[in-house]
Amino acid sequence: MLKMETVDKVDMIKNHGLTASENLEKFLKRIEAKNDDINAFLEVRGEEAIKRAEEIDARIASGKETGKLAGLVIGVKSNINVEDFNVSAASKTLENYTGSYDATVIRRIKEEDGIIIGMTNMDEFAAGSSTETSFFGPTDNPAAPGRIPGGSSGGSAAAVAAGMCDLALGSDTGGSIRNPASHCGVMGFKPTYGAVSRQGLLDLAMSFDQIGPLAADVSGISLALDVISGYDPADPTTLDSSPDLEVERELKGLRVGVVREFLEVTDEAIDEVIQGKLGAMEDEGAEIVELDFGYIDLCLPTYYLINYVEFFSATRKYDGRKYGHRIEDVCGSEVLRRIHMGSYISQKELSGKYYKRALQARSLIRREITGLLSHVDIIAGPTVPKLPHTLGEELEPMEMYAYDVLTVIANLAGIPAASIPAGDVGGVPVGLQLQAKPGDDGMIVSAMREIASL
Amino acid sequence: MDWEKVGLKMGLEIHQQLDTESKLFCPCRTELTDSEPDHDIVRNLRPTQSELGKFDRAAFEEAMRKLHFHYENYHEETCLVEADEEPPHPLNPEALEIAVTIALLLNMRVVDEFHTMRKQVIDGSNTGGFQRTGLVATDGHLETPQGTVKIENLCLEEDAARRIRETGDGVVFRLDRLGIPLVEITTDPSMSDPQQLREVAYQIGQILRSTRVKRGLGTIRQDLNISIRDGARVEVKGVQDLDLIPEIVEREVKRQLSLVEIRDTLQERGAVVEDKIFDVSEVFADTESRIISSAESVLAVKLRGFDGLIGVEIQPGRRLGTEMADYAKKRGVSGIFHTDELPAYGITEEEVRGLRDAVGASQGDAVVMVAHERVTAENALREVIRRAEMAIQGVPEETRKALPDGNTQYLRPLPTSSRMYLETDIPLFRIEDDLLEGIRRNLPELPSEKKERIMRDYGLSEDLASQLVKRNLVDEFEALTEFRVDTTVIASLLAYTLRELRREGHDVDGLGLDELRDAIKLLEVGKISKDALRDIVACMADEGLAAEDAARKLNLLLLAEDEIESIIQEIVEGNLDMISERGMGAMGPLMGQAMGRLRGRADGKVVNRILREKIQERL
Repeated sequence: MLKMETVDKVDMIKNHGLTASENLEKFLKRIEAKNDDINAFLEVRGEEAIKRAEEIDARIASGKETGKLAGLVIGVKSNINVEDFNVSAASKTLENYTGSYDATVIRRIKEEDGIIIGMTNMDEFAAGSSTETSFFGPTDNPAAPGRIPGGSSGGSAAAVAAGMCDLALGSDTGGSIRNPASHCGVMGFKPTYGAVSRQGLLDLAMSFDQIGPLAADVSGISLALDVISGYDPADPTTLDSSPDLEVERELKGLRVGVVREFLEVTDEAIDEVIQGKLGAMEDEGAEIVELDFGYIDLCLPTYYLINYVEFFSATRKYDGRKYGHRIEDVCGSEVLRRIHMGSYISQKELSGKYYKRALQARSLIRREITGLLSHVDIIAGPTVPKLPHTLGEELEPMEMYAYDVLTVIANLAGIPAASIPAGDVGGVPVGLQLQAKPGDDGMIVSAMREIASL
Repeated sequence: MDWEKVGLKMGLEIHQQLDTESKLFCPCRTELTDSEPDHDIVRNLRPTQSELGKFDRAAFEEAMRKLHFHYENYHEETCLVEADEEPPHPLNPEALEIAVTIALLLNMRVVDEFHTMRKQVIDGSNTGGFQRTGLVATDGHLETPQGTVKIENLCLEEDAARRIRETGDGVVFRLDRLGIPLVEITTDPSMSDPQQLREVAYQIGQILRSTRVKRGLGTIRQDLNISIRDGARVEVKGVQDLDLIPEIVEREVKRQLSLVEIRDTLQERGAVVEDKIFDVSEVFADTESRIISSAESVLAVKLRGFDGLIGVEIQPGRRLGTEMADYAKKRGVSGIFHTDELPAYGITEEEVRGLRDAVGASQGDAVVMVAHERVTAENALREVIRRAEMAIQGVPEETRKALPDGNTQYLRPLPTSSRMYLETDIPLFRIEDDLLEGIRRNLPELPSEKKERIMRDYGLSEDLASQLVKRNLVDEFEALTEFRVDTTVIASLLAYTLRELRREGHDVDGLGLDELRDAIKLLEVGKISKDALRDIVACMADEGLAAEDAARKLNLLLLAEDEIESIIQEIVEGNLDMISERGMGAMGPLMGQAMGRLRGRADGKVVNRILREKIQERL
């Protein structure tokens, strides 16, 4: 079967070529068949979705207007509030918590006639890069069975990779959308900080968190971005204006920055795949500009110190009174580690030693990377420096954190970044990461479109 | 006292409200209100156990008092941001500008990015449980006769909610003050001369007053940090009178030295505080003492080895017993009794013996007792036990309140490990070089410089000049000197006349610079006399008239010379007898008559001259 672009599917549904119900039915069957093995979805509410699809079909049949996502089936990461779904953050803490309202992104999706089908698996409270720390068990990688799907939005990436939905939402704090997209061979997009409302997202680290889409093709990414981005009075950190997604730039003449240090920390086999892709881009007329970034060693410590402090602050509401269980009583070891570290670092008398320095380092990194970006249109490189490990393999925390070294920079600097399939190493997918200036989300989408058609 | 020898270390922390249009993170006014609140929000304090397994000392202490927090809020004066029901709005740039101005005047280095942080506050005065604060500048200095003093930090932060009153079950706060911008200025904590501390407080005060800051009671708060080598860090809050600072320091040092001495004696004696609380109501079954007999129960504790020490004076008029009583009072009793002061209060010597027997106190032991409803009395005695144990250890770290006589009183323990982390609802604010340079080029004059200058440039007396500076009226004064009028007249109008009129009940606040300009202009062109200025301004204020209309209404417009002449002519002609009788001796009475008719409408000198001429004509 010829793979249909997401945007064409919407057209087909609107033009009576396919019904929303048929589209949904296919996915429900797929989930039924595969989810027990893959564990991408933690909760699926088929009946409600069917009703919703029928309602959309009825509107189309009677010639009424429908939204931009009419009939598309969407999976949502379990840390985004969806009314009546179990918003568990894959933690025992919230195992019984039911969303009482729709996050702003969900409201916008529903207004555009997207169909929410279920909640996807993830690392507990998004604190991980493998989806192994979920209280509900790990997720398998549909593109490389037996390996981790990456994380923390591993369920969302796996759901898209396994053909269980058209689009999925993830959240990206240090790479949690791009990392699993890379490992599962799909596309993932982290918007500019403030481009998408965080209202209704369960916080991991508020100054890094950003909701974004995962999809099998670029049109799915751009459709979803168009719907979910924009100012939200309920989130004071949202930007006044949405990024311009209508950018059209061909590869010819595009200035593509390649940071030497990003390649140096990357496994050789991955490096080769990336070089191959960069070569193909150059063949199409892209101008490769070599760049140096001197602070690669600062990135992980800076990122994790701030992450711990903000996570500690964010978890204080899980004290067992209002939502579920007291977090420290039931959470897994990585979540507990972050809480303890955050509690320690945020003490005022220690702030000069750790936290203040982390904030200073963050400003330094942000300035450096935006400085590099002023010379080029985009920066391209590997998304993740190593291949996903096999499920069940035990890693030390620092080994685990090393997966994130190339993705945390975009969060530290608040810039947009995406991962797009670049090839594979022995059948295991490898992603190419694209980063651009704040607000240049459209530049990345445009480059993704060009690269996908190479 | 030899400050070096006792190892005295002091620092200063000053909080000053800024006079901005709106609050730091919402558009509400920065004025307090006394009108009836529109809503009351009630919230309960529940301390959470920290992850290290310990309760925050200060939070725990507050929680022991089972508090409900009431927040008074308004439709107009406050909004949902203060109630913590709406996210904060972006940083108020006006406040940041003032803070940067102050920082530059303190010779500080201004940071390039302002990061808003959350600082944990658990006493209920911040609805979110944290205060928003951010570092603006570091590394400043001031010169004093006693040497250079380093200014460590300047932070821009939100003021807390106003504590209105305590109720039976909690505290009532008003949200009007919450969110008013404050600067917090912290000096290096290593000063060792109380006079230097006073001098620095004075200089910082002068600098603050040269910028747009609020004036008046409660808009500036000075906290002192004081410690001596063997003592402990104590924070003294609420110092109003700068001249009292050396006295407060001296008395605090004396207190700490005495407590150290008491500690040594207690340790020598092997003093022990027993946990057991005795019910000694029986002993006082037939007491003559009113305070005791009216209480539900009388409970006591034994402090072994404390005899004679509870009554030792540690500050003028304050004893170790007073310190214990301060702790006990936090649990709702009005005071304690201890054996160092008994018999007294109607308690007999025999009862004291009975009390000692009942708790098994031997010589060298002291007994502290509380007469109150049982649970409260027990809680109060637990506090006494706690404080007594601290006495064996030495000086406790405390937050204390400055008293008007220079003594200090226990307020609460110093908070432990307060937390600070990024306020992730507010984007960071870049302080651009342009902004900094603009402010640097337009730094205000310090009040002392300003006073010297206006004395020199306008020939004002020191008294008038300092009044204008103190009342922040120099700008208005200088604006009005565009008229060729005696500068002293303008200065005293601003510095004194307006204040007197206000005190007399005239609504002079409605008068702006333009109105005053009109009035002064009349004076410049000779339409009114300077004596008439006061009445004209009063009339303008009361009736909202323009200056000339007010002068006309009061009949205070100066007459032209021929008009004056004709009136004097009339008076002279009506008094020809007197003139022929007394000659020039008629000047006095006729001057009186003339001024009676011309008061405010003619200059006395002119009247005098014309009258003299007219009389001479007749002689």
